[in-house]
Amino acid sequence: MKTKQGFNLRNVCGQDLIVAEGEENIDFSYIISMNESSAYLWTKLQQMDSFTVEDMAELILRVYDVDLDTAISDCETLAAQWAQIGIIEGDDVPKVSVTTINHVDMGDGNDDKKKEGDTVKHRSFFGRLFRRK
Amino acid sequence: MNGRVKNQVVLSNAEFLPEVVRMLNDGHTVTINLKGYSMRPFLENERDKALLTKAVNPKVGDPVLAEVGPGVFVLHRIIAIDGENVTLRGDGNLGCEHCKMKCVYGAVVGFYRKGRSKLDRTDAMKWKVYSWIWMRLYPVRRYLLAIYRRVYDLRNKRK
Repeated sequence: MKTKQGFNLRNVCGQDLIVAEGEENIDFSYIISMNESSAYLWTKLQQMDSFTVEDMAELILRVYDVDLDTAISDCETLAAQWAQIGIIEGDDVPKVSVTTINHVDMGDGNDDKKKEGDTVKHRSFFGRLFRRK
Repeated sequence: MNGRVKNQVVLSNAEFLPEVVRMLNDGHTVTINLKGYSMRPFLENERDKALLTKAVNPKVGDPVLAEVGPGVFVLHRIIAIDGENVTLRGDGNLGCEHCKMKCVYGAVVGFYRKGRSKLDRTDAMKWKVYSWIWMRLYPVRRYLLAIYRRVYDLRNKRK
């Protein structure tokens, strides 16, 4: 797997944030807060062409005092979360059962509602005003 | 290790917006979430986003990001310019704010409304027609906003 391009780590107001950046635009409406260890991992992994869970665990072991099994299982969960929110890609992203990553919900948590709303054909005031045939 | 993703990151305006201003000055455009009710009826609290760019030669009628007091930022419409003095008023407000031209930092390219990915540009017909009508309705704005608020609250309750 590898990190997706355009998601860079920025320190804003003392917080490590992953911010979606295009060549010109910086999108603060979609930001992901990282703690110290995941921020460290992200900067390292961004420099690699591709990585595995074992690579992540190795990076963690270099800096943190944990045992290999814990590091691997935590990195698996983290990679699955990152894949879920769409900031890494690849065929070998670990799949963690939905229940464990259920709480990862970006934005305002109303995504399900929004999706339902999309299927209902609702025309806004301006939609009715300008697109009437 | 405890790598995890938080649900929502809330940054204070006084800290966050100066960073945004710096990025605008570096030549980037910046997308931010909007908070507050002061640009009703077009924009809604925590629903819509704005695409900002550096303000170059702002005009009366333009929505802008400006610092109206130390650390106090607003995204409101310019209603008057008198030399270096700028008067702003939110579309959903009755009162106005004042600042100097040099404190007008960001111009709005457009708004992403209601979760859409299509931009409602401020140079497009929809925004211009809305602006033309809404600015002329100022004498009765108080009543229109009151009606709007009640209808909006009622609709939200039903949902």
